[in-house]
Amino acid sequence: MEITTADIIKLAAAAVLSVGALAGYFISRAACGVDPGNRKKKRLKKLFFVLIILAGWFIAGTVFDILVGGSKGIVVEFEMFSERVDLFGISFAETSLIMWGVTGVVLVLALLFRLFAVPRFREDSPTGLQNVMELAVEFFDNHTRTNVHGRTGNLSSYLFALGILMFGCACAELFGLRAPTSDITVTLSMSLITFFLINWYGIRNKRLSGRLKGLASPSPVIFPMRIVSDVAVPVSLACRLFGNMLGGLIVMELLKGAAGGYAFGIAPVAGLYFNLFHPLIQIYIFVTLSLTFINEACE
Amino acid sequence: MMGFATAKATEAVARQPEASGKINSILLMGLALAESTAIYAFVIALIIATKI
Repeated sequence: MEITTADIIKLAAAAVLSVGALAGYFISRAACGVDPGNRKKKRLKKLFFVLIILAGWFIAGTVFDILVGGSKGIVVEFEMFSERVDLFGISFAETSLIMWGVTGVVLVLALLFRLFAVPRFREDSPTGLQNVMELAVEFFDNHTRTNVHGRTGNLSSYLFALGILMFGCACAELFGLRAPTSDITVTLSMSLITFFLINWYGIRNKRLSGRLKGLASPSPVIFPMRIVSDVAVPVSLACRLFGNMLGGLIVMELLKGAAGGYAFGIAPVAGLYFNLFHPLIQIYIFVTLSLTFINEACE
Repeated sequence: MMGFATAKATEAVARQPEASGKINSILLMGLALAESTAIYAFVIALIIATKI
């Protein structure tokens, strides 16, 4: 932590900017108070308000920059597989520990909802939390029913759990942890469950002979190709989710590395897109593709 | 490719606004499938870059 002349100049500039913005804000507010109908002065007041926020961001960024020691250029230390952690003499992947944490949090939340929130739900006038939960549950229910024609059993509950778990994993990244979904072993295990479900529902709806016949239609010649394309399904699902999550992770790392202390205030806004919105779309795509393949096997 | 898909989806919604929900979901899935080639390339690039 060294304070150079450039830092002092930056701090001085920030101080001058903030003092100027504050003075301008109060002067224009006083002018507004005399004549409330004047639109031009109101706009000036708003402009100075924005300036105050910018000056505050600049001061905070400069202070953080000095504390951290400035941007060290863009060096993203990145491993395809996560770091190993020794716990009780056994080597664990970091992401699997985070996954356990996420699972635990989701389980506790589910238990709390079941014990305290669900008994208070009313059928006639739903409010707040009940609306949100009904929206989520109905989305998965309707999605399953419209996409898969046939007996679906508890498929929608499984997909709901999967969606909540993947969303929890994405939220872990907001706390600075590596999202478990940006580990290929996690995504591959999720897509292997999908692969199992495809065959399970296919065999249950059409028997084994019907499933094999479906693979061999329209002619037995394409049977090997159908097998290959069936095996490619879990691989492609896993790689899609993994690539998207890792892309978001790397973009956020680059942003933090490039901006240094000035990432203060920028990173959370970018994180809303890369860590919340993007995972939601990926969950939707994962669920929809799983349902599409299951339906294909059923028909 | 994504531009074509989006343009066609916009046309479809303009022609039949009441079907926008269905068109939207089909569009999203198509976009995901179109994007997946790029994602595969990204994953393979990572595999090469980290020398696994």
